[in-house]
Amino acid sequence: MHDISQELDDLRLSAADEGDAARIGWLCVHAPLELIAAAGLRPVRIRPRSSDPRDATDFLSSKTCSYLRCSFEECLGGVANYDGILASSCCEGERRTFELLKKVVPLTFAELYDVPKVDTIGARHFMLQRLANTKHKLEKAFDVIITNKSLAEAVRGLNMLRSALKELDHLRSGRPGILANGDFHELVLLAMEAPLDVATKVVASLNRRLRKTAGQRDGVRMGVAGNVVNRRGLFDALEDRGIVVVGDDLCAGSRFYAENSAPSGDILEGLANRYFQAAPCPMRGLSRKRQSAFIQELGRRGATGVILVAQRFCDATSSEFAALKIEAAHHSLSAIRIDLDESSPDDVSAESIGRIVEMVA
Amino acid sequence: MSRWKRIMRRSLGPGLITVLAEAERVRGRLERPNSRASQILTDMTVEALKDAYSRRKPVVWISLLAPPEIVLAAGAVPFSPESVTATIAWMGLDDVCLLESERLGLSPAVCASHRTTVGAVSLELLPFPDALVCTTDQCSANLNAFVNAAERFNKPLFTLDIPAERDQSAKAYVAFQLGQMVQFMTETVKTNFGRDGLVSTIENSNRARESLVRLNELRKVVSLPKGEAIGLNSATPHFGRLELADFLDVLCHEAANSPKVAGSPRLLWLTTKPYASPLVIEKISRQGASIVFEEANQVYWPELDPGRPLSGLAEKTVSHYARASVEERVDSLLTLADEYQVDGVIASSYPGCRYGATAIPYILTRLSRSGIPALSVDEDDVPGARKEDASPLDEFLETLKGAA
Repeated sequence: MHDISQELDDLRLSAADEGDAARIGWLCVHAPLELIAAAGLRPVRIRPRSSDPRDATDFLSSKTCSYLRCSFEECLGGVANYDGILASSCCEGERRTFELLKKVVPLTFAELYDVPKVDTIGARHFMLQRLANTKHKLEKAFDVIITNKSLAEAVRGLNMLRSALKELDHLRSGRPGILANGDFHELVLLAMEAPLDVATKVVASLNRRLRKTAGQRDGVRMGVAGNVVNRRGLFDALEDRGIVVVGDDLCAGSRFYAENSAPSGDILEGLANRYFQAAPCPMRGLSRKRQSAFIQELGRRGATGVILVAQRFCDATSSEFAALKIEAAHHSLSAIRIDLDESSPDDVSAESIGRIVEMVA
Repeated sequence: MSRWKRIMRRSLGPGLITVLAEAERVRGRLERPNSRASQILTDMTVEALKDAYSRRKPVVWISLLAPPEIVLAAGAVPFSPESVTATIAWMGLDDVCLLESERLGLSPAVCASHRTTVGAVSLELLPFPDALVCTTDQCSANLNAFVNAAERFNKPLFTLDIPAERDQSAKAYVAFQLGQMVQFMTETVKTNFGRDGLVSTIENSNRARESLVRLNELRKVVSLPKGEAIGLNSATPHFGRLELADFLDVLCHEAANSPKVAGSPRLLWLTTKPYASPLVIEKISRQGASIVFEEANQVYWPELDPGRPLSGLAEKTVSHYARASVEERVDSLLTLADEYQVDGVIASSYPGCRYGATAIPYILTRLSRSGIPALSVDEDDVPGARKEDASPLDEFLETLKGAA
């Protein structure tokens, strides 16, 4: 297994460095990060680090998904200093969390980016209006002008990072054991937090080194889907049981880097196209297309099963398990669903890990 | 094993005959209604179920916020699985549906109502649809339940996308989609979709709206019988039916002519009531308290213009009270609390309902700080999914009584 502790440390340091650029926290991969970068600001994924969101529960019900509760706590505590928040209307929980965050955390910029959940001419038109609206609000809040040139540069910058992460994903799946499951998960998360140029440089440099390295050990190959965000412990636990993750369909994984936007032409239209061309996430309804493509890819990567990791109280993710199980069975893959809570200690998932190991056996 | 489970297992074409028989039995049981309004409501509901199960007319499944006015104008029967979940639970079939949904892999953390729907679809307890219309509103379980049903029955699904924002461009976007929904209905249901039909259902909808406005005004001084108040909440899928307007007219008349004074303390109810087995409602009633108004019964939309039906329906859809921001919701609740002179607020936070539950702690704190005591009751609409008791309710009611 390749030791990437240096890369992780570099990214951790950069992520923690607040730097000069204003930091805009984002909650969902649908947020148009290119607009933030084009305004000279730094997009930072809000990571739910808190394991005890007790202050958040004064605002949000304990039946709200733990990603949102813990993210809320993170922002409340002022640990992560954000100048702005860009949320999306992807789910009811995110919408309400955003409204309350906007109320209690002092922010220069707060925007709920309204994402259509269907793909029609009307929806594309509506999305273009919303992109223009968000762009305008960013310009106004930070007194900047987002030019076509800066937008094109931002698109190129994010495309480079996404492409680098995509290559890393292929390297880890093509050469199982080359990276620890937990290292890959952590690295993707950090790449969403560190300044764009640093993240791209670190991942690209890692790719160059890994291209020359063979896979070092194999195990039971599995895929992971769902919306787990900050749960390195889960990936480490899988590793300990000889399970090698060879692909994912995660909000904190491939859903971030699977698609690029067109760097030329009408840039806003390119951003809208990126959203519509991506396989719809569960919040846009059960997508056979996404599930089928994911399961087939897992098949090609030699996986024997898939684990759906759902945030407890995320209806959309949980609801798609029945279809995922059927799709997996068609390709002779086993499937299991585990419900996780970002706020619960890792040892709580011991039972879930036991169930996975049982399935694998 | 309950009688219904045994019957269901025996019945051919599984639940359809069973459910129809039960609907008739229910009507028989309610042949001695408290009032004419109850009779109209029961007849309307049972006839709608019969239309759906007997397939006398095309059946279109609709989710919350999908406009039944368009479905009715197409000569089809709007069928709301979310509303029927309560009926299923009332028949005692909820546990078998929940078990089936669990077998299919649904997490127990998902909304019990939609788990029941998914289970009922799998057990073929619901009327087969000719088409489905779903909305992307505050409920994410809803969309997947409809996609699942559309696939299961191999029928076309129209998804009406409702944005989070409620500005002019959001209304225009929804109005544009409603035009597409009309087209969808024409193509899938294949009935004569005359403009006159839509005008007629819009007029019926307006009549019902007008009666509801009058009824809401009356409720500031008189109390509705328990049955009618519950029935009122299940009216949403019937907007556009003449019978709904009749029901509300008669209810207004009856309430005005035999006024009942509300008990004390006076309560405002947030989100929907647990229809299926209203233990909490009964407990409130036993304690002498009254639910004088429900958030869900607000008339939040303006009168619809029959000359511009789609714009009006878009306005109605986008302005739905559940789409309001947290702050708008608090403001609206404070206004209601004042208008209805309530002593306290009870929020029914179904564990699986993100709209109902997400911001409830903040909302209740805001209400309490404004001098309105408020309590969240984790009461599930589907009895089989219930885990928590309602003991804090007793304490809350006692406190309110003490303060009165």
